[in-house]
Amino acid sequence: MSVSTQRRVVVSGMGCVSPLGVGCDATLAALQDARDCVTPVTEFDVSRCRSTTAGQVSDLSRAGVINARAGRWSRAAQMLLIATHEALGQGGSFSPEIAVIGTTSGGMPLGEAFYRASERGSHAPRRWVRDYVPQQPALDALRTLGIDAPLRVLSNACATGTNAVGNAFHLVRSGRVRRALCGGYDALCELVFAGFASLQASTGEKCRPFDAGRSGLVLGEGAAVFLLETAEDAEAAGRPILAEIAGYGAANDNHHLTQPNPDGSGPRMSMERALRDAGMVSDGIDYVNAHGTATPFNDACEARAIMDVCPEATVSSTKGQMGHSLGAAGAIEAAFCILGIRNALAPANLHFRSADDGVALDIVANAPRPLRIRAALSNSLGFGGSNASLVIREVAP
Amino acid sequence: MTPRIQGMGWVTPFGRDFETAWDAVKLGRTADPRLVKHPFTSREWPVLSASPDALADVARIARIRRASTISHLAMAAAMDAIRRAGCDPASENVAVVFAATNGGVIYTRRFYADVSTSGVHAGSPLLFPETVYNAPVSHIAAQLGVNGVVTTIVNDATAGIDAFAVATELLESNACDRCLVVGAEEFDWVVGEACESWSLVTRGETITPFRGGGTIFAEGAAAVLLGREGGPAVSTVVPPRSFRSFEEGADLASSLPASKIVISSASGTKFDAVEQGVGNRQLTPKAAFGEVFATSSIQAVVCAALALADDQEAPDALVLSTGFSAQFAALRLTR
Repeated sequence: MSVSTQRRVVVSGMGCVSPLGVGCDATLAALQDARDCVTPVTEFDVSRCRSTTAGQVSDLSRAGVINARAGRWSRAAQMLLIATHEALGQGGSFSPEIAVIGTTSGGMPLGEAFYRASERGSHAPRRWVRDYVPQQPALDALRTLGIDAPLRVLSNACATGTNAVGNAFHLVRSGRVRRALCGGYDALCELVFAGFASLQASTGEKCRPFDAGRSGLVLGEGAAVFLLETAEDAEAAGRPILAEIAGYGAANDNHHLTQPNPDGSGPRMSMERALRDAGMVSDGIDYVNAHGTATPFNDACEARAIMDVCPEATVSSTKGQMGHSLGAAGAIEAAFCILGIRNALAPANLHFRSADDGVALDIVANAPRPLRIRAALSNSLGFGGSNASLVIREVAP
Repeated sequence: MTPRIQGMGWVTPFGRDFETAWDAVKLGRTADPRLVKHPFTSREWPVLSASPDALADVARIARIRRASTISHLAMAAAMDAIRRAGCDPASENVAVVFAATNGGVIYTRRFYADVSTSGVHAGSPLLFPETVYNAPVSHIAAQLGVNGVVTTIVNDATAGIDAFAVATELLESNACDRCLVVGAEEFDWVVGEACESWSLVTRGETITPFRGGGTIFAEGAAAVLLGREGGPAVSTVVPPRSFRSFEEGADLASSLPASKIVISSASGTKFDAVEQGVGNRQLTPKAAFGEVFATSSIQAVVCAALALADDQEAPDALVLSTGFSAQFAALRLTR
């Protein structure tokens, strides 16, 4: 099937929970203000760590979705529920034929609590075991909202959120399903915080993506959920068309379990594949939302790839505002792209001073930039050599 | 386009060859368990595992020398499937889809034990990278030279079936020319402890499907290489559907068209009720190999292919999978 004859897949609902805010409106306001939402970690003791901050979601109860039952779930499940509820609330009745959700650590805070109880030889509550596995937050959120669709859970480290949206996009475009719900979620947890600390990948300073003096990432958390269907189906149902998902590419660089190939081949391949999938050339991309974790290795590798593939595009990493939300990152950043497209706004790359020698990218330094974004490219890179890219386009009114 | 099986591999408590393990399935003979003890209490669990000798060749691979057991198991099954198919992944467009339920639980528990004991600053950088769910498939992709689609699906046992749905999608869309579906699981006491409170585990040394008493957890792996031509075809995949009661699950299972060969996921737990009424006679590989979660579903597909080879009159074989998160999935192999 040629690109021109394939179905156009659109986003007809979107929900977002992140340190920037609960809901798309609050998220947009924080993007417009270039708000730094990274704060001291309060969930567990980090006093002996190099990094002591993270992007943390607050005020989950304010969304009005967390009832007494959901109040006992993990924070991960609660964030996913709120994001799913918001997405479904935007466009009337939507019955997905599949749900594709990405995560790296599921309801791990409950797993941690379970382990600590086991270590003491005491029996942990049964629900901790039930709820910490990666599928359970998604099953709980979907069941609570009356969705009975088959569930697919992807876990490709930090590329997962993008993989989930990309997989759902392909399912709708190919006609295998008509409607898909997709997204990603992850909550801050002790195990992952300790993990990045152990690798000395997290910083005690500000997260400075693409800055020559960058010293590492800060972690974050959140969830984002999208409703995907064809433009014709969305129009027929009277649902809003927020943007078009036009292309998706994934690639594996086979270099190292935790480090990208410095030649940039991983993200270069995923971007090229996403553009080819969209039937586009690189000069059609106005904005790149980079993975941009602010680790020395990631940003050098990704900058090289962006310069090769989209040298003219405006670029920012939004992780300076909210940290790295792992399995949620790709989905949240796709939401940022859609908000940017709809509001003619390139989000800020916070804490940027100067680029590496030889890096010539048009970075949106420290403040958002008014920009008409006809098409955006969103990158995600993960452990295991996982790379994924999405092409998201504006839809003419 | 219907994907067809081109090569298979597995690691069961009986080793890596097909004959001994397949005979055990047909006889319903449970492998000999070892005991894994809870380090802080008197609790212990029987576990079925392959002998370390069965993984000696993969343990020498430099990239996974220090990786956890799950990566060794996955690599062994993957390499066997590739070799039997005569495939050279480095020169072909091969995708890899990995399915897991618990993932790298040994290193995850060890890593968190250090954190729990000594603080968030005290985790080991050697252990953490192996805790991510996609660590095993990244090792496989690197070893085989795959740079196309490499993805990991996580769910209860139904993930093993959903992996075939993903593989079918990739082959149909020409995203790859062949797709390797792999599953692997390792066992740690923390898994036994987790399932203890759900009354899923037997204290005995055998598994009696459909008669209760509990299951025995196991380590193992399976791999199936799919392409556009070859052996039995994956003609239908029923993706994971959740059910609210065993009756609802049984309705899902019994709604499937009948088949002479039914490979059931029953393993002596209350979840067996979902598959009780499907077909006249069922093969139950878990009675031989134990509960290997998502990997069990891929081992069951291997069993279905072997059953079709044994019974030349059967037109198809139905593989059932019921997961502990109350989801049901199924797959049909045809000639």
